[in-house]
Amino acid sequence: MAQPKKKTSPKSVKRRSAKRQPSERRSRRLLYYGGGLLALVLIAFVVYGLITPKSSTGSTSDAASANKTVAVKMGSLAPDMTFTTVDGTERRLSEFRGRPVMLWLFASWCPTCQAGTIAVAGKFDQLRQAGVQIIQLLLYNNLGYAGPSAEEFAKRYAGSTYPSPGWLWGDASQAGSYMYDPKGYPDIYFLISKDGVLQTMSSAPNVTMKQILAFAQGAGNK
Amino acid sequence: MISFGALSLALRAWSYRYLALGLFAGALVLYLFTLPAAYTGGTIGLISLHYLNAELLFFSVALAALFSLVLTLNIYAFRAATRGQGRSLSLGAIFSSLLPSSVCCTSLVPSLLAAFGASTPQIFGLTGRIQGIFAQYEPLFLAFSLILLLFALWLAARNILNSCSLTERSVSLIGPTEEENQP
Repeated sequence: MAQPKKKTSPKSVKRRSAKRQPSERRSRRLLYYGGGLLALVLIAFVVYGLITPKSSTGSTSDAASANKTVAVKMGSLAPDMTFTTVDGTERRLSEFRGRPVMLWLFASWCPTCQAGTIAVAGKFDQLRQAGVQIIQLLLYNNLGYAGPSAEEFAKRYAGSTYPSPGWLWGDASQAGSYMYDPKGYPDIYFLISKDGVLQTMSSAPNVTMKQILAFAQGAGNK
Repeated sequence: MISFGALSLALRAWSYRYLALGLFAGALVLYLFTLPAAYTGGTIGLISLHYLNAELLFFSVALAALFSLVLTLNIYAFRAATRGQGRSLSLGAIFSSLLPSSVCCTSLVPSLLAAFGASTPQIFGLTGRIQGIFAQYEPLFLAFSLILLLFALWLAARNILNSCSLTERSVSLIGPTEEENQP
């Protein structure tokens, strides 16, 4: 007795072609191994971060105080910090009490910092007329990645505004970097009033220029 | 050549042409606004367009074009009841193309490190090393994404052309359907 012919609908052809090929099984396996490896790396990272002694390897008082990751608070007095200008002079933030200050911590490899510096240079006249003192400091160790020095950066991006007494360039101390930027953001600035009170904390001056100009014009300059 | 053959096959229908154009427009807008985000600290908006340079513009157009073609071919393959290929590569390409602008100079890496319990010195040691690489080598990441998309396009095209001949062969082996058999 002849067997009835099997129906060959398009669905069965589709089902057959949809069966997993060896190459697809291989790529799925790779995906699982890759995901597993990534998870292992993340776990190792967390464990390393948790078990490593949280003390600086340095022996100076700067390093010791850096362990106290004091987060600066808006509305409170700006903690004093030391920095070294490009000509090698050591200065303190408290020396600028009595003037509105834009304290800007940056990393020289950071594109936002480059764009921000160009933007601030474009508005420098306005800021200078308002009496704002800009202090732009390279974060400690440039956040661990090589890049131009503060002076080279200034010459490249600040244009004709460099050098100017109203726009100081230098390197932040280790303690100062840790105090003002404990999370290591590569671009962060603080607007500090004449009385030394922290008013605003932000980043990317090229994007937040309105805020800086408002501060300069006295809206935040109390 | 394989890609051109598959593309001419897929783009014969106006519906696929419109699909490819629509996908290109959408992807182009996405890249034009997101690629310059490294200069805006992650802010995406009209200000992003201010930081478009020739290099970013080239990559935006190239990535959008390749992405739309790969997706169109995969949709064509799906509708032609064959298995699309290169989807994971396309996803990888999108990921690697958007990674530099979303990671560099944003709070993502430091916040992640802090969330994982890293101390301040550790964050300072790692943040720059991680973000600095993306900052310095962004063009390489974008070029790598282009290569991934080109490979995905070639894979999808090859699959379509091979599947077309296989489907005809498999139908002839299986035999005609019951409906076809009826007088």
